[in-house]
Amino acid sequence: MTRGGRAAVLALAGLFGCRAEHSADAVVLAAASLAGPFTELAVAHERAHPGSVVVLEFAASSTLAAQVRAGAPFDVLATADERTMAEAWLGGRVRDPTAFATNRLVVIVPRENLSGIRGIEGLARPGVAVVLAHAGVPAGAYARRALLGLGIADEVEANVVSNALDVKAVAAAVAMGEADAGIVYVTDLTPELRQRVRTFPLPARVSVRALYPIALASEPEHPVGARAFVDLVRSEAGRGVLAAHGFGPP
Amino acid sequence: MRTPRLVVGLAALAAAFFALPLLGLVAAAPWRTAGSMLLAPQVTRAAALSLVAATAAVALGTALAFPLAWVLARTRFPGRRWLRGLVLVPMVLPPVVAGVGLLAAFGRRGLLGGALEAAGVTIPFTTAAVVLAATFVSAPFLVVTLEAGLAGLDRRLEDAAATLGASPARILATVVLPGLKPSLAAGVALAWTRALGEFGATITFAGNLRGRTQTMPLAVYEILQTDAGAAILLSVVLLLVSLLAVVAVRGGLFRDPA
Repeated sequence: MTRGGRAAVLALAGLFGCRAEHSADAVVLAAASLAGPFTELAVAHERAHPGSVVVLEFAASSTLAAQVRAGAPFDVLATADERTMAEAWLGGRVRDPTAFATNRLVVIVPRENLSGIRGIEGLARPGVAVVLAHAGVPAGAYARRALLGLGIADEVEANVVSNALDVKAVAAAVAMGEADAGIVYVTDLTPELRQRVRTFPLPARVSVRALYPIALASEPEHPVGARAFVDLVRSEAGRGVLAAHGFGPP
Repeated sequence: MRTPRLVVGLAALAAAFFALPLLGLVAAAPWRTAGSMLLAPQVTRAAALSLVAATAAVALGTALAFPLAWVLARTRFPGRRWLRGLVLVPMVLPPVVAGVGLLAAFGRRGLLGGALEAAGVTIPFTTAAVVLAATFVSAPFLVVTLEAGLAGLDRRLEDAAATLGASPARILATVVLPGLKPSLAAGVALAWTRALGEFGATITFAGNLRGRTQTMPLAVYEILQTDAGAAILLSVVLLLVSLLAVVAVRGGLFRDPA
């Protein structure tokens, strides 16, 4: 059965309360930027524990932290910055957070690049339509930190036409050509996105590095599966999958 | 037939199903700090934008819906059912899909993108986009109510007025529009509240920028990430405004029994 098929079965079974829970099931809430590697790792987990199902939810880390604080059931939380993880931790909802990956930012512009941007400084030029992630979202906070470091934060903020709700929405707005430029993670550059955008790395003097922590729920619904998934993410194999998607070691 | 007790009981259960989430919000809202939260600049700007955009959307929506409803109610042509389906589908479409569709039509790379650019007009990520998104999802409510209203009018009155020499404009003003008032009011209330609550099409097509495109629902979503209490309070406000708008409109589709 396909992943989607199994997820559907799980959802239906959950609705009617009739699927026997597998001890290695896990509900994983992860930052939107982790969609690629975590989808692969969930498949690996399900292969290693036949019959188990990993339910994945991807959203802005700040959205996930808010859900967790509000009492959403989950087993594992992985965020794109320490602040959102700290919120969940201060709320007593997670334990043992540890860093498992790092990420870097990149400027993207539509393939045609009609505005002629050649680097991050171009975002400050008047009239350029910039989309950033919302400042409460890790990607948005990191982007603004980089812009502050370069001394162009105010100019770029004046050009922002939308504060996207997560980093994938930034990529979408630029890929569709509706924005002239955006700042995303290098790991957002999937092959599909690369076909539609041009990228410009940030100057070396901008040392903004995104640190990704992962943690177990304080009261997991599936303690065994949760532990197994976290161990997988932090294993050699997990590091390999993350590296293949462009993430660095912590 | 007297209403069976069973039906009353089931209706009470159904009412509870709809009332509980609302009561939950009211109970969870931090009323003591309500004043300062509601007067925060982000909130007042979002509220003002929402009110203006929803009202503009209803005005534009009525202009679009009236001729459509007329054609649907009073003419017969091949494909009429398809036309009705087409204009009603935004009611059931996932709003994000509506937003992507609006981009595909009016975006910089959309079908009309070139023509709009030549005219020096950019729509996505502007307040105009907020209004268009709200219009797209809310106008179908006006089409439905106005079509039902037009179909329910006694056309003999119009014929009589015509026989007495009234011009079409005069018939419209003195016979048709007064007869349509209840359905127009119902349609306006439904469309206005739908426009007020619009989220998915707005975030996709108009983006999220305070003071320009951040409506109340977007502000609620943004604030929810940092201050759940304030977000709940705003939700209650949105809810009460919508409830008032719907309740205020009597007649039309919701005619009370005599």
